[in-house]
Amino acid sequence: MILLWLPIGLILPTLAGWFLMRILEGGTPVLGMAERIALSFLLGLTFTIFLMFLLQIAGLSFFTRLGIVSSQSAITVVLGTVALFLRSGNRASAIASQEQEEPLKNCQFVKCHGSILRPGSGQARLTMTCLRVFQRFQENFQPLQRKFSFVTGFLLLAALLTVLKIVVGGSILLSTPSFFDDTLKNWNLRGKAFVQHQAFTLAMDPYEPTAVGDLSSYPPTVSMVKATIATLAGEWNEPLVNGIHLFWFIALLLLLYGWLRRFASLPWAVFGVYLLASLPLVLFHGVNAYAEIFLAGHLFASVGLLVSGVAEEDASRRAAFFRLSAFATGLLVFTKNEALLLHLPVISITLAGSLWFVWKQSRMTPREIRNILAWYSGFFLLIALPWLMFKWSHGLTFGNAKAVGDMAIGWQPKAVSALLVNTFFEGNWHLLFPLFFLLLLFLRRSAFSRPLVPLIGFILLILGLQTGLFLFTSLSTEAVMQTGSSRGFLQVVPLVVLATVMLVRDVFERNDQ
Amino acid sequence: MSRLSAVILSGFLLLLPIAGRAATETLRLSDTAEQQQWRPAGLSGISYPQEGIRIQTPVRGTIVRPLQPSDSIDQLVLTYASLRPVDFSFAWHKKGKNANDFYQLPLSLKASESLTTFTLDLSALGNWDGRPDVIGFQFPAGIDIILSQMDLTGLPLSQKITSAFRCVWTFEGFTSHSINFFWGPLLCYSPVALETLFQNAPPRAQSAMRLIYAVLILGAAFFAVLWWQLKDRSRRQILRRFLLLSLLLWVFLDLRMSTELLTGWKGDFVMFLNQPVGRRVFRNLDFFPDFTEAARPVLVDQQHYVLLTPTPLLFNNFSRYVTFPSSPVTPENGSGAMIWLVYNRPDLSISAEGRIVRDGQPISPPGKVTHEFMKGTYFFRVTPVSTVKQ
Repeated sequence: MILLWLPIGLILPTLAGWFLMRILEGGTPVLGMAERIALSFLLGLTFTIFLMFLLQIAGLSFFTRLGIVSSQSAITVVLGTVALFLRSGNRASAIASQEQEEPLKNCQFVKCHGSILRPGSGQARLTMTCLRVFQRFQENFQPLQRKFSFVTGFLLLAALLTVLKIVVGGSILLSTPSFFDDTLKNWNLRGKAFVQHQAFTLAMDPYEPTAVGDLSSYPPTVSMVKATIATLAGEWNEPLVNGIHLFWFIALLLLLYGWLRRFASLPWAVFGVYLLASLPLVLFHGVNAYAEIFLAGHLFASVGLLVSGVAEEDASRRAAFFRLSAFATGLLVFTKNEALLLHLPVISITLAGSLWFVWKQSRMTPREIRNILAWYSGFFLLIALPWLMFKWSHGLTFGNAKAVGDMAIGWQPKAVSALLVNTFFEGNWHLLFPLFFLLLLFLRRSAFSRPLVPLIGFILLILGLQTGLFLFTSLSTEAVMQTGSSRGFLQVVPLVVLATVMLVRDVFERNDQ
Repeated sequence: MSRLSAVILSGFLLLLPIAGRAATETLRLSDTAEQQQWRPAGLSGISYPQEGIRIQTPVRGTIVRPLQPSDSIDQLVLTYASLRPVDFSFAWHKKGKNANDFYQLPLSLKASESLTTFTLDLSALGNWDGRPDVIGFQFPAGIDIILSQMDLTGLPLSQKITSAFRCVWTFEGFTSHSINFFWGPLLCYSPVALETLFQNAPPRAQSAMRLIYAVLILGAAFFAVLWWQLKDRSRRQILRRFLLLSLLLWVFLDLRMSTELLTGWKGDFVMFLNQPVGRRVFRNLDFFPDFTEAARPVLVDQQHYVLLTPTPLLFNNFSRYVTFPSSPVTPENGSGAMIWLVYNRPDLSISAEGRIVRDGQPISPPGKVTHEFMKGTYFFRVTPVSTVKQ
């Protein structure tokens, strides 16, 4: 029964996230349902925790049930009000235009809805939504029903195997003690400390409140989420605080599904989800209490939405994608240290390159570009500035496995074979990387043109940067000992899967030579 | 002869070597003729007791002999005796290499007063071609060992294939490194290698991914030939076939790794979830989760406690997390700690005056065992100073 506190604890942050998505989309909703749910949960939770962190360090809120419920309610109400205010202006026209743009087709079970329901009423909108969902279901599944092909059978079996693994692995996560190093030393231990102190704290030992813990330089989000849920439940419970990782994993799979659905048919989206969840290290992290999947979700949201923005022709939809991406990018800073040091610079380069690319094609005006840059800068400053100021003022280190200042530079020959073995000859990634690089080689034209070029560019840059760090700095021990290199790649792997599926689809769906 | 009969006969002839038997060449180091084959270099303190060759060397050195194996060697069984555990290296020289270029493999042998055997699988070693022209050992200074016999065995192909197949489907189970990487499918070629597969890190086996890549390359070559012969040369068609082959191999790898994960989780269920408290074993933590859970009430008002476990890191992190806010310290930093948790340390004993003793030296203040789970696993409470004075 105590596990019920997990969904209960996620309701308000997800609702806040939902409102945020609507605010950022503005008058042009661009997200599919799966993507919207995943982003509302993922980004809503992180943003709520960020605001709670600000309230905590300002001394305005504490880790008590009342403190959490009141602060989260206030955040949700404020965001909800803003969302409703922004929507109320153009609601009627939006409904009208939406109905005009997407007339219902092939609707067999209700024929007279229009005549008995008042257009624009709540009941009418609900009915229309239900009908659209039904229509989409019909559109997606009718071809599959008509010919139960080999592909359908394969995808069904693949989906069954994936569900089986997630259910079994998730059940073990929810019924066994925490086991792996970072869970014990960092994410869960710090959460326990917050609950013990009933406040956000840097001190890990309650008997020594002035001593800053070794790992306090990591963003506290994951630990604060756990502490929030445990506080709501009234006790620190292993299944309860570890169960959140399953939600993050499912959100990542939904994001991949949602992105693929924007560009490809249902079978391709299911195929992509299967490929990602079949990767042993991805699945294992998905059902264990580590933070890589949590970060991977934010990174996927940031880069995936950026790529969608670049691909979009309609100016208002494009702006909505970029706003959403800007928000996810800002939140990245508050996930794990490597997001700030590694991912953010590469996202900036990718964004700059993409905007230049779009501008050269005369698809965007300088004003649009200025607006986009302002959104990205604004969210970065909104989230990074308080966190970095806090780190700096408390003397917390900058760096991930090592503080930036402690890193030695020099060629590390042992890391070469370690990286090769880990990436190509172990059981972590199946054939993902060889296939990805082969497809890049054979499909250069598709890979380096719209919509994939920013995605491929980001992947190559980030993999290059990570490899460079392992080959030329003292971080090489992470590769040689195999402690951190594959986890670094893991954060980018969902994007690699995305690019690979798109390239494979290109091979099968294009008929040119 | 019909075409079918010819195919069956050819297949039978091809399979003949597979059905062969293991060929073993035995080197008896107790025989004088054999002893004369061995050439020491740098070693001193070599004697020839009845059992074989005894090496009691105060300096580092090697002892080697030439070899002309009739069959390929896959396995070495060394018969030896040593009063203490010993670490040294097996060395070999490949034909055609520079005379001083020896390859080495470190060995760790258990102590045994009487003659015992140690089996070494050589089949999956990177630089082992099965037919060395010189073999021997390199010993560190201070070693004392009797080498009695060496059995050099070449395994039949059928056994190698069976072992390789079983090796691909042998799983390590979840360990501390599973969160960072999985070894994936491995290839080893002898029952011994299979049995000892995960005793070394990395395992002495080859990655089966090389087989997967070989199939992919062969497939690509086949499709390329096909493309060459086709009138309507569509590069995309060839790429499609190659991708379908890749998908097939991907699915195979997925089934292999899914089985590994599901087997690991099944192990968690059988060994931990399905057992009563006190008999539960959780991965390489063994009984420790139940031990620390039982310790929590004892530690409620304790800022620190001393933790003594077989290896520090894993147990320390786990204990610190479970017993938070109380934290474990080492005996050296344990001044003032009233509770000592001793887990799986049968080497420690309690002295007559009630102190925990390691290697004959007392390491704790006087106290008493308050709860003993089994030999070497107990809670120890230090007697308060005021009580001692009284």
